[in-house]
Amino acid sequence: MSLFKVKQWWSNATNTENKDEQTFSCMKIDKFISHNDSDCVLLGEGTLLKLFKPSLDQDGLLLETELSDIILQIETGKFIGQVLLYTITSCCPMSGDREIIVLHPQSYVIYELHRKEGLTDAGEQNRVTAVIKHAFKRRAYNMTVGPFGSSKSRDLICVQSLDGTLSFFDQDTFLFMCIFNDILIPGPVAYVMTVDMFVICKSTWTLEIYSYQQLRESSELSLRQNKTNIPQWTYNAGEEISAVQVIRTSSNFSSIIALSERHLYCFQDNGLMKALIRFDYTPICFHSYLIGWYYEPGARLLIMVASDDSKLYVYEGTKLLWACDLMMKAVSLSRCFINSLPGGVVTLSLDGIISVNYLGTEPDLNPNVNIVNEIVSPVEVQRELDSVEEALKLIISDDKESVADVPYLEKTISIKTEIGPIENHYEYNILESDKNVQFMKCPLIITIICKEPKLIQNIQITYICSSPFVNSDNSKYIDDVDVTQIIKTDILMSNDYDISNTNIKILFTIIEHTGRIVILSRSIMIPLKLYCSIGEKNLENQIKLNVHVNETCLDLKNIFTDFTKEELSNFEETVNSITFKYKTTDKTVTVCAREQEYSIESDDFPEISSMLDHFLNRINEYYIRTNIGVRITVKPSKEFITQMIHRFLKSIETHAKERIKLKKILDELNILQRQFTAVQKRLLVQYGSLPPADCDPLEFLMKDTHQRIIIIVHEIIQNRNVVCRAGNTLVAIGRLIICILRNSSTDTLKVVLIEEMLSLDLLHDDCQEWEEAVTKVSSFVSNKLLKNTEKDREKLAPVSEEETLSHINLKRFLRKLKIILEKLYTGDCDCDINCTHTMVQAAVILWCRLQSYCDAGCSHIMVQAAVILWCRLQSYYGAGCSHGAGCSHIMVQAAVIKCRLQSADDDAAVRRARCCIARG
Amino acid sequence: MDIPDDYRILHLYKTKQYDECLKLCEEVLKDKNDRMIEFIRMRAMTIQVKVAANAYDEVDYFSYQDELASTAVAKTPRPGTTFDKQIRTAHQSSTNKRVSTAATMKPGGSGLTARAQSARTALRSAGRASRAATALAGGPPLNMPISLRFLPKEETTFTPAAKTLFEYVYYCEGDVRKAMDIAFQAQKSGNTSDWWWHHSLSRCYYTLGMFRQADDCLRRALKQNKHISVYLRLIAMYVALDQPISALDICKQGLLIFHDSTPLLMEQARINEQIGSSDLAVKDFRIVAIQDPFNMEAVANIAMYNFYNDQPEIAMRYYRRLLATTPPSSEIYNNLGLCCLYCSQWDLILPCFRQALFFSTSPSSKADIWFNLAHVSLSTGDMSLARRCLQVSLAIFEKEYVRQALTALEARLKTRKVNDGNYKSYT
Repeated sequence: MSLFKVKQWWSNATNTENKDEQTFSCMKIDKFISHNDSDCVLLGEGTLLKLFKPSLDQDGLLLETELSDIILQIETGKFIGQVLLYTITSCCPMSGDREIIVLHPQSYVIYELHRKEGLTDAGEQNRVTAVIKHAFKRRAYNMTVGPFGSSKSRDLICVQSLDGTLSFFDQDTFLFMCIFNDILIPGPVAYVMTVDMFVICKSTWTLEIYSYQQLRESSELSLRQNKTNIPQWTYNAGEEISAVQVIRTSSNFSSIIALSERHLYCFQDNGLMKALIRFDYTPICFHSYLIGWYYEPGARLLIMVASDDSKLYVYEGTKLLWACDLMMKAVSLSRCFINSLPGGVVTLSLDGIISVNYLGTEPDLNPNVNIVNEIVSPVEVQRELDSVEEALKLIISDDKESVADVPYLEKTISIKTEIGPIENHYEYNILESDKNVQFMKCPLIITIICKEPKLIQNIQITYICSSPFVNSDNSKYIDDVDVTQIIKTDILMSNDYDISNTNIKILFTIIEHTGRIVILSRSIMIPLKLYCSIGEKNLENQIKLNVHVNETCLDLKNIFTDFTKEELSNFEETVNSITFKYKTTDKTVTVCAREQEYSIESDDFPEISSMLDHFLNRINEYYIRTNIGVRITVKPSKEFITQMIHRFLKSIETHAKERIKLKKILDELNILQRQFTAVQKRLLVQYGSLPPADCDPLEFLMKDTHQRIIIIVHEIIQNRNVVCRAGNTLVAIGRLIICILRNSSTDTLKVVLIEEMLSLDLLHDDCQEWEEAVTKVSSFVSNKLLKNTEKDREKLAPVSEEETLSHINLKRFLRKLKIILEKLYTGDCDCDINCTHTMVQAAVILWCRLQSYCDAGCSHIMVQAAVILWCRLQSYYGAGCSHGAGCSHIMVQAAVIKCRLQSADDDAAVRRARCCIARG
Repeated sequence: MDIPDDYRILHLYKTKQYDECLKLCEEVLKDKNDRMIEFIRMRAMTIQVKVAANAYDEVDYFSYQDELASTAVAKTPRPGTTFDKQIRTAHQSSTNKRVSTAATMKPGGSGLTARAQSARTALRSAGRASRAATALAGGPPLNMPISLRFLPKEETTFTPAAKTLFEYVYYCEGDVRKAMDIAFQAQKSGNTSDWWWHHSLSRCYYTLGMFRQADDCLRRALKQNKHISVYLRLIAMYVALDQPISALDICKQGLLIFHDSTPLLMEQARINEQIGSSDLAVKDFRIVAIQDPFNMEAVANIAMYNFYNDQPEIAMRYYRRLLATTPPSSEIYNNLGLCCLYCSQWDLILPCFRQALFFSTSPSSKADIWFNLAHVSLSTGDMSLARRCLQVSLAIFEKEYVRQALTALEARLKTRKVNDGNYKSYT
């Protein structure tokens, strides 16, 4: 986050062999009398000791020597005392120079640096000679040097070992040792010269300051082990201290600077905190230095900090003076004075490269930003914008035509749907189907042939099938359309309820490249074989439905082509009749043919429903194939109709009752859940309390509640299945009613009306709130369409303050339905209201119901329901009826709901919704 | 010559190369038992988790409300004592409209700092510790028996190890109760009381949602050592409790000890900003900017203040500085574009917004930029372009104020059409 970057002035990175390798390195910068024009850099790299004297024209390497052990630390100082000095002075002119001390794991060595001028211009010679070598037992970690105990003559050595023990040495003599038992990971140690004290960082994350005198005494104390050693002063930093530096800031005292994980502390040597900096980055290392001399009053203490994102920050006090990019991660920072560069920043990087830098003041203004900078002429842009506007206008005004364009699309796309190969399916059944409906399946194959795939953006295929059938996938989304696309899905039977609907509806939502949306739909019959087998006739069939054809009856074998003739002939009977047995419910239905009449016989109505449906479809297919025009009429007897309506109402009642039961259990679950939450809450408080309270009774209560919740949930699952089963029966009979009406009456209005009113599509696996929807529609129908007297209306009107499922409302609802159905069947209804208008209103009511489900969160059903409604509305809309305006109103509503459904993964639906908004 | 493993580990630990350090520790600990290396490993893991979990950041401004917490305070606060936007002074509501015209001004600053919103919300309160623990689980080893080999509290090394153990258990294992156990034991065995333990306990209480105890602990810690993180922690707690007045009080106390301390000033400024007294906030931001000129949040906030104070030229200078010093982002360009608009530097407006669109990554910010573009085109008088921009904005991301603006614009266009028709028929 800075304008600036440091400028490299010198670096030892000449050979790039071991770039990635982590090196074990340390550095020290100091000045030697022998090279008194500028600072020298000592670098320890593994076992190699190198000495550099940075300068621009040479590589600066003065000396490289291999030592016997790895280098832990390098320090400089005057370790050889004056006593020795006298004797050496005569032979060695360099004796006043500082010596180099190198710390190895189990020894330290003191070296002297010698420089020898070359005889010719060939250069000079540098070498180090070991003066003192001392070995010790404890493995060392780091050391600090200095004139401990105010020794005037020479520097002493303090070595911290890995277990935190401090050992003190003078030249090659061991002085004493201090043992600390609260150091787990050795930390930095520093010596404060002005007050003769040591800074030790403990594993309790405190900074402790001991005087040398004290340490010396404590070494004897620790032998006796009876007294604790109290430090001069401590500071509890609360974070691990990673580095400490002591710098003399005035003639009287020094500053101690300590770096922790996120803070930097600056103390005076008497324990007074001078500054605290809190970083919002991770610091790695720091170096503090003085501008000016410590004995001058105006000396400024500056601190450089290197962060782990390779930045360098310079602070004075808590104020940030400079920040710049370091270009590499530095593990060690220092400052050096070189002849031509006073005050350079020396960094040691991870791979052991030393570089000397200076703070460049030339800003670096984000050079690596790619700026979108091609020049645009405003005239051109305006022209482009205008053309786009034009195109948009065209598209919007073209809206009406787009509906008419559907045939065009159908020309480019041809869709073939077929139910998979029967043989396979047959074998499959034989092998696995014994009483186990779950294992039956048959593939559904859709082939889409598209002549110009470029015209189409994407296609979404949605399958709608009703229980007990399920699809292996509910919808399929094709993003890049090919010329031919084959999509396969499997139809399975998931449970053993009544079969309600034997058709599968397939919706194709096609989005063209222009963004226009077209919906095509296909319907396909599920093969009889999937859900039926041939069985034996039940002689006590009560219910009989006749279908009249104005031709002679066909051989039934020709009609039910799903089964082969051989299979059917196995059960050959005297009369032309076949009995089927449902695999789901084990109930039978018999189809007989006599002269011009077919009859379907069974024990109950749901069985007849799907068979009639299938039969009519088949027979129609046959006659269309053979090109014979026939007229098929279903002729139910009066008794049949009354029975059917009765049965229908009964099924509604059962369904409603089961739903009430389910609701009760759900309420119970709600209460239990609340109880569970309350117990949890209490328990949490108990856990947190101090001292921890007794939690056992609460825990017991929680477990018990949990157990009960599990039981209730199982009950709910069971009950829900019962509700679904009742729902299926309801749908089956409802469909029978519609089917009979359609095939026996000529009044199409009636058929549409009753179909819309019952809206059986609403019943779905998870969505059983059918009664609520139909109550509203039925009251609308009975009030508006059938001329009821005021009295009747009042009698039948639902009690508004009670729920639909309440006893009284349900009763009224059933009675209403009964009246409507009876009137319709007796043909005693005369409607004077425009049918489409009614339909639209009915749809609005339905839609309101759907809206309330929307909040229940069953989004995928919502989408499906919306699609159904949408298609239906589209057909009204397309018919160009006078009430189109009303339709678009619903469409807008539909669109709003769909927008809310955005969370559903149904992308196309959302887009469709957007389209609707545009139209609305 | 090979470097011994323990030295290598120490070196890696010291130079903060934790990944390599952990790897090496893993290898070494396989075949030998070394207390120091084990502790280094614990530390390294803890620090990594702390960095990942933003544990160094004390305050998060997203109010933390838990239905289960029975300790929640002040459900219906008095006006002016809460962060809740609903209760605002008259002064604020009058400027409300301006805010919506340049809705992306705000993220310009705070989005750039390390206190990124996503990082903050993802790891808060109870989730904070455990989430961080799982984040680590993928990387280093699973055979972590350290906590099973806990030291008995009688042992001499317990006191020095306790802090390391606490942090390890709290951050890496995410087990607050166990961590609290350690804290209690350590407090018992240590003769002198230690502010750090109070501070850490308050962290635990805070995680558990027990704010009163946390407050207690922090006050006790403060009595022993006036450390800056205690102040920040206290501020954090009051912010979480939605008590900005108390938080400001703590800021003041802290600033008495640490003069001009940037973190404290920043918190004070943020709180002031949140409760709507932006004049006070900007004063603090200015001090921060002097102390730490690289604090992007402060600079961005000063710029924003100037912008809303009808000094777009000055705001623009601040934004240009931000542009120079930070990695480019869509917010800065967007704000620069707006400044250009108000400074009438017409030639730069569209390039700025183009740049902003180029850099923007989220649909929300894109929608905002388009909204601002609509504003630009409105000020040039191009109504249809404005409408188009608003539509684009809506298509990218649904925002209430954009929808409102579009409705208003369309209504105006309609009346204009009618008027035009009238005029024509009149002539």
